[in-house]
Amino acid sequence: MLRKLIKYDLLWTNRVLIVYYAITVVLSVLTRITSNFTDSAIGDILHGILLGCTIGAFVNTLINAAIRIWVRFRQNCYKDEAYLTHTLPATKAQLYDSKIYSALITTLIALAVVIICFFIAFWNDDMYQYFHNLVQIEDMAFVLIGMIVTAVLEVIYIIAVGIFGIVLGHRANNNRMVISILIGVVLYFSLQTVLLVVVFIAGFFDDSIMAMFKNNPDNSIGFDSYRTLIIITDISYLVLNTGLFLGAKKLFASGVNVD
Amino acid sequence: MQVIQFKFDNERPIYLQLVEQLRVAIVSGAYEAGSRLPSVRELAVMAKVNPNTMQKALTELESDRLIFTERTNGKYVTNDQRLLAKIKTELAADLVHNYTSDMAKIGITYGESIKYLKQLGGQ
Amino acid sequence: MATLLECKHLCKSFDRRVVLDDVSLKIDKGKIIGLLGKNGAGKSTLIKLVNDLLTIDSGQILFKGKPIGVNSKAHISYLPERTYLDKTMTIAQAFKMFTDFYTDFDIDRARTLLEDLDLTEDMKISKMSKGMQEKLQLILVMSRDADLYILDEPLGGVDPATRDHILDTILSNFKEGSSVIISTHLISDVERILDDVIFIDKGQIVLTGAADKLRAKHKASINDIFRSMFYAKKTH
Repeated sequence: MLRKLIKYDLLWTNRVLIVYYAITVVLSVLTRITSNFTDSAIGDILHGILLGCTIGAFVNTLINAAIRIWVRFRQNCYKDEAYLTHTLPATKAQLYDSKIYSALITTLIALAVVIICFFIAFWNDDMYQYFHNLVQIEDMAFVLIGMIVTAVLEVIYIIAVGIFGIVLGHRANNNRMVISILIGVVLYFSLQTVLLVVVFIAGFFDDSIMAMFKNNPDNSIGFDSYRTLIIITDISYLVLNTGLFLGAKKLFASGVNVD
Repeated sequence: MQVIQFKFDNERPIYLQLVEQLRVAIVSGAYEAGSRLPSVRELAVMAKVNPNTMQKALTELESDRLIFTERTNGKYVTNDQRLLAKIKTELAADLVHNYTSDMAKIGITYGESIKYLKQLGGQ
Repeated sequence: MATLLECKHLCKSFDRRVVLDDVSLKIDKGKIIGLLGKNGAGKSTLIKLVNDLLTIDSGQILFKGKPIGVNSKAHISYLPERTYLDKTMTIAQAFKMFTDFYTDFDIDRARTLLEDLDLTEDMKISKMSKGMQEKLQLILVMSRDADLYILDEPLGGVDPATRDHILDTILSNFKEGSSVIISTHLISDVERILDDVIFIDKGQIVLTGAADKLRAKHKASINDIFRSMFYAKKTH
């Protein structure tokens, strides 16, 4: 049952996103091609424009993936389509899990598209050399991968906050959309604050992390603390994301009131 | 399938009206003696009534022996001509009674009402 | 007679507005039941509760003796007032979806019924008029071999020819021995096909009974009985 549900959720979410994926790929390829013509003034301008557009397409793809996931959740679980969704022979938990799994898969697809397109558009020998030298430094490879993981978790965090907002907001009887967005925004910033507090507390155990919070003329922290910082951040995000998804699931499984 | 037109008055039990109208359909030969009746569902859709109600009406007709069930093949109109004639007479008696009593209401005697019938009945 | 659906002391409020107030009822197997009430009487709320679209404040709903859930949903075919299909789908995709999710869905029957409407399966739902979308939903709902069909206002706002078509579709296709609940405020249009009626007003059940018995007792149509109960009597 879960599989069938996921199939329909994925189809709906990605049917439109595929257009964004295609645009992103095309722009990346064009950026790469025009990077060979920067000697001429026109080529340089064109390349500059395409470069900007490509970066824009990256952001757009991720934002639209998130929006598409939220819209699917709301429409399919609370609006007209909910009359079919909730009368399918599936449990509320299955309906919810399907939404979350398909959201995670969609997010990963979108991120993969962005990362691959990044390489298509920008990867060159200089960059290779730069990264090559960078990873020679002790722990740097770990830090780099950790940062990518942080970015992925941050995107998933935004989606999780949105879904929690929708589920909680639709327990109200009126103005459900506005309340959902408000909850989402407030939750986003308050949990970010929590994250900052967690890092601050970690500072009590690690002087170089604490140094970030103090006026430090050097303003430098060692790689060692980068490593600690990333581990703390990633674990915190993991805990937050899991908490948000499970919390929303508990609320959702206890029943919904469709419009 | 022989289609018959049903007409209802919602103020009386539907099944009674079905019994009456099916009885007429059988006696008049719309459903011939010995012929197979449409299925309950078909009759219900034809009359736009509930199959349960149609079933109830058919059961009543069956207990009057106007129709009978052949185990697997469905329901058939009786072959019993004497029964058909008897029911027809009963229906006719009702109609005559209605006619004469209605005529009586407007002050026409039985003898006179036969005259009216002869004069105007063919029209 | 076997009970198919039972509601026990159901209550539902939105904010402080009570919409259902201690509603108890039983639906037997093999009956066509009219859930009759004015707009806002609580019909849709009751139906939405049975279909797990709303949370129950208090009370219980049992389907074949068990609380509603996956098992009831597999055997209840529900026609809501809304157009609930994903409009980006084609008719064929909607048929596929019902085949995927409902084991009792008879796609051949659905195709036959579709032919009567002069629609083709490659048609996009978004390209269809609202009336056509409603007819498609009726086809989907009546092509299931369910134990209970719940039809919420199936005749709302349609012309007489369509009304006859809808009643025909319902009568010709519901599974033998199953039950049908039809909620409506247009009583005269459906009363002829009802075994039993349930009158609901201001969130409470006010009368239940066999339609023919009520007609015989009151010497009036169900519609007239309903009107005399809930609308101010006309002075002669």
